[in-house]
Amino acid sequence: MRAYVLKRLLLMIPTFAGIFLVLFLLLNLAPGRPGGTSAGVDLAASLRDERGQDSQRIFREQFQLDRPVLLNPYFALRPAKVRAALERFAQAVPATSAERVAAWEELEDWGSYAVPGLVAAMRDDPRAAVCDAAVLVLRHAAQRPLLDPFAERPDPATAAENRAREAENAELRTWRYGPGAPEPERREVIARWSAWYDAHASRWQWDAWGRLRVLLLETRLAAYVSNLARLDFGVSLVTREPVIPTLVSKLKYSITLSLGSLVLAYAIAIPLGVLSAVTRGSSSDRAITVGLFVLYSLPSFFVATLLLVYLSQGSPLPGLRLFPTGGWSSPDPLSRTSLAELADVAWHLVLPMACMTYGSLAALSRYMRSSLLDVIAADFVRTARAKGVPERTVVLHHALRNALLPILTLLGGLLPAVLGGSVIVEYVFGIPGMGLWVVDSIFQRDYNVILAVELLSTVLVLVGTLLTDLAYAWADPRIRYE
Amino acid sequence: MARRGNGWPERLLLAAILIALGVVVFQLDTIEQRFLAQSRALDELTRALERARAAPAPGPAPTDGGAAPTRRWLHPEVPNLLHDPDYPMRVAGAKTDGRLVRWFGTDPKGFNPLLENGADVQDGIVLYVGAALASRMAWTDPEKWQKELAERVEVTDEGRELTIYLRPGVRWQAPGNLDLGDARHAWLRGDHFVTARDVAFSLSLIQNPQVENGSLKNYYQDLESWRVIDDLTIVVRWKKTFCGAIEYTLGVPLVPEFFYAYDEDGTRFPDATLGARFDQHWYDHLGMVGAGPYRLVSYVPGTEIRLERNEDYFGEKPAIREIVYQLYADPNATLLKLKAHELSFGSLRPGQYRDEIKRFDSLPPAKRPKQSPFWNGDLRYRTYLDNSFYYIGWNADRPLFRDKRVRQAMTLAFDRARIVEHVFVGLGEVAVGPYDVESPFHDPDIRPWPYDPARARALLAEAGFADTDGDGVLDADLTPDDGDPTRTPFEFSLLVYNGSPEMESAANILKEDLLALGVRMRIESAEWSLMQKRMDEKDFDAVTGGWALSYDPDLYQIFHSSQADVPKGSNRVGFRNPEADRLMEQAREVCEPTARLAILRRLHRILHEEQPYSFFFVRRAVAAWWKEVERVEFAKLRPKANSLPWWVDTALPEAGSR
Repeated sequence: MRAYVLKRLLLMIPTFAGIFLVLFLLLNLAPGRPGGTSAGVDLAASLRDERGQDSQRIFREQFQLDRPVLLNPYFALRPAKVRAALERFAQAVPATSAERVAAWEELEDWGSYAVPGLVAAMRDDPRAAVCDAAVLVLRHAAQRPLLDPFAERPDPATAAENRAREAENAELRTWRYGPGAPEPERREVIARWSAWYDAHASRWQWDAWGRLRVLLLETRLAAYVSNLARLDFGVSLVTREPVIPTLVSKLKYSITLSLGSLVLAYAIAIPLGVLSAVTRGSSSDRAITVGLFVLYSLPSFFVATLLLVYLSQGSPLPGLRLFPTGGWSSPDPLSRTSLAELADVAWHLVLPMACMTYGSLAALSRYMRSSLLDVIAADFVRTARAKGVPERTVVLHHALRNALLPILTLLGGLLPAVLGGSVIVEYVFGIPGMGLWVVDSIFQRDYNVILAVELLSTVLVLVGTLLTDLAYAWADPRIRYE
Repeated sequence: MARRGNGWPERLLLAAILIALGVVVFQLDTIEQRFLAQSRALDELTRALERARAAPAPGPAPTDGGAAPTRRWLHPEVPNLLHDPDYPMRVAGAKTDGRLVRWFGTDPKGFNPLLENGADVQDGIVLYVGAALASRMAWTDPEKWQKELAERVEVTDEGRELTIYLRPGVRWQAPGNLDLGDARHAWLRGDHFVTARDVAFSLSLIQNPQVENGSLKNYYQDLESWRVIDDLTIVVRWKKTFCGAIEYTLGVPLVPEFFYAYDEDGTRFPDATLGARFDQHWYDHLGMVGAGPYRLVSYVPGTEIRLERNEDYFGEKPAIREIVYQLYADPNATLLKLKAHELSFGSLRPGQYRDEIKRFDSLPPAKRPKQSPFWNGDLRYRTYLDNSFYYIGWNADRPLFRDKRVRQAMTLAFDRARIVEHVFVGLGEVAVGPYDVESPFHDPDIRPWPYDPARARALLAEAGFADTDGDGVLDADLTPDDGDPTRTPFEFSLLVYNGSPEMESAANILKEDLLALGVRMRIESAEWSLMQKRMDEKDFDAVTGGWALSYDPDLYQIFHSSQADVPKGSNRVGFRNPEADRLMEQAREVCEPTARLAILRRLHRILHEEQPYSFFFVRRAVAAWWKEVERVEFAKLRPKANSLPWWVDTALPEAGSR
């Protein structure tokens, strides 16, 4: 048994790695890019303004969005390719708006790896437009990222290096000219860039090891994995808050809701299932079945709205103003004692929990019913009846215990749902849980949040399946894992 | 199976344990109640202390603005740009301890006034907690500026240079939602005065590339330099004469240097990484430090944000003592929360307005539902013009819409008045141009294009469209960018945001009307990110959209021809008109009111004639509030539902208390 558990635990590692890789690739290759600001107009504005472009570049650096996803072949970026993108961006060749945007994004993606190509284009391209575009892009691409910019206490060496880099960046930012600049000024700036590149060309020359390092390690995947190894899930790309503390604060809502409704569902479904099984075929069995399936088919957004409109404080019927109109607790939670707060939260959760529960009753009670019927048909139950044990004891004591096992093992599979939350119930009842958070993050391409949540639920699924299997063995002595 | 012992001793023991547990819980609850009562008393004491401190104290006494004989002006000959406030925040008889409960939305991305440009944070928090150097006189004359932190502003060198004199003795608020008793925060205690260095700090952050606020940076492109003269004086210089200079200089979101340049235990951020550290400032998700009329005192994520009147505020203090924002995602829930009196002020959706109010509006009072809070006097409501307009933009880079007569015909075939009445429940007014209809820039002589299909048909015929092949669809010889004229049928698609069912209905009505003219329009619904991409790439024939504009809008980004060629530019419709270009350039430089008015009105006329957009309508918002909220007056500027002059009658039950 111990060997089996160990084997399963070891198997989890490659499974987790595989799932992680698929998740990571899907997320990073999906269309759409995370922006520093969510509104599109802002992106347009920042593209026009050079400082906006700078901060966009820094944002991309900070979240490693300036690197390719899986492998980084940019050390071998051909100058001709850079020049082709520049041509399209500068409209030196006919290009539609879409092609220009694509060319810009390409140049942005290459980042500093494009510098040799940009310098080549700047030096020897006969077309002024391409040359100007090269200088414009160079101004961003040539800048060097700060080392560990969020360090609470940077060590003196890092701080000194950052000061040097920031000074160089500040200087490079001024090497520019406006649209209608006189020729001498243009030439002067270009000469400066040219000289600067000659002095620093070694930054773009790699030996074989360096190339391998760039290929494998200067990627988003490598950056994420190295953070993950330190259990650092990063900060949200949107709010800049560390992901894990936010996740923990959201878990409070989601776990309460889903565990509560799980317990509630079992507490209601098991007696109903027992009742149906005992009175199999009778009108009460049929009534229960029909009733539960009607509930099962009611969509929760509809029921939730209905409950709120008629049973909350805003109800048109004064006698039914029983519950609050949503939310987690009443205003000013700090002015209540813990006990009062507990009662207040419970009062707020009645309707949402009802909404999350009623749908799962049908399935659970059917499981219970069929499982109990199986057991009742078993020999030992007949024996118990034959020796004169009252029917009530037969069902509740002898049969039910055995019939409960398959139902309880279902729980293992439900573990990840605890993390998932329920988007609809959270939205309608205004509960700030996991569901809404994840959906918002997906819309905003908040990679770090999505990955953290998905990885955690991966772990829960893996652990959940293992627990289910172990629970089977524990409950049924006939099952043995070797 | 072994039976568990169910004997009396076990049961007694269990009962005893349960009783003991109950007693402990009760005891703890009582202790906690006492503790809470004490902390409430402590709060009261703190508040009283704050009030006492706000009273004139010895030492560097705050002077009342303007009459400071000891101060030396650098340009005494220049008149003060700023006026004294002329609109009272408190009226006689107003109760001063009321609470207003409103909706905020979901959790804000952060509270940093320099980083967060969302309307929720700017209109809900920064407006009340932050303090500006000066503000437009929002209730009386938005053309004029009134004193806030600045008591005098001199504009010199043809508008390029602004000399700003700060009011002395204004303190930054103590950070709320933070335990100042904690030794870790000891460095935050004490007085911190608003100085010219804070203004310089804020400007330098805007210019810092590490600070991520692209849209704000865009406004300060032409800022040249600033010079701190002394503690209370700063000179800000712009590269060229620019009418926005006053607006952007005086409207700069201010952040205190003593606070935002430091980490949680009071160590200053290294200069090289100042911007990056500021982007992730430790306090951004706890609250905001300003010098405005309110303080942010608590924030419970997902539940509420609480503002309390700043008793140390330098100006006239508002009557409402506390503003509570409820946080929830679903805007539809506002109606229910209003009815339940969990909110005291909220806005209704068009459908809710129709069902709750409009349906009964025309009925005699006896037939209106008595139990509805809207009709029994509990809730009051008003509709007001929100300064944002919706439009259909015609891509003039496509051969089909290059001719202005075609664009005019589209507007003539667009029955805007009827759509606003029926689809948008009458909540709007047909738009005639990009300006706020209540602003002076809006030329009242320009009449909206009527709904006139006959004239639309005539214009299309004039532009060369006729149904030559008898298929029911008009066609014309059009010249694409690269090629020869070809016979092209009048078919195009309209890109519509799928998040607005009303807009989709409007598009369907237009589609039918156009079909009657022989124009075939397809409707393409798209989710926002796809729509954004298509607009960025100018990959559309026609598109629906909306703009929210400031009081004195700079149309350069939207309509200047140079912006049509910028990738991802906002002139998505490719509007190019040399005279309009010239006027928009002048509008940035001619700041003298009369001349500027003439320029903007001329521009309005050209836009009306050219119809780069079919200006659709200006939305009306519906505000509803409980009867205890008094003097609900709307400002002339966004955000119009600014509660500073309101008051809450505490003799009536308050929202959110039970």
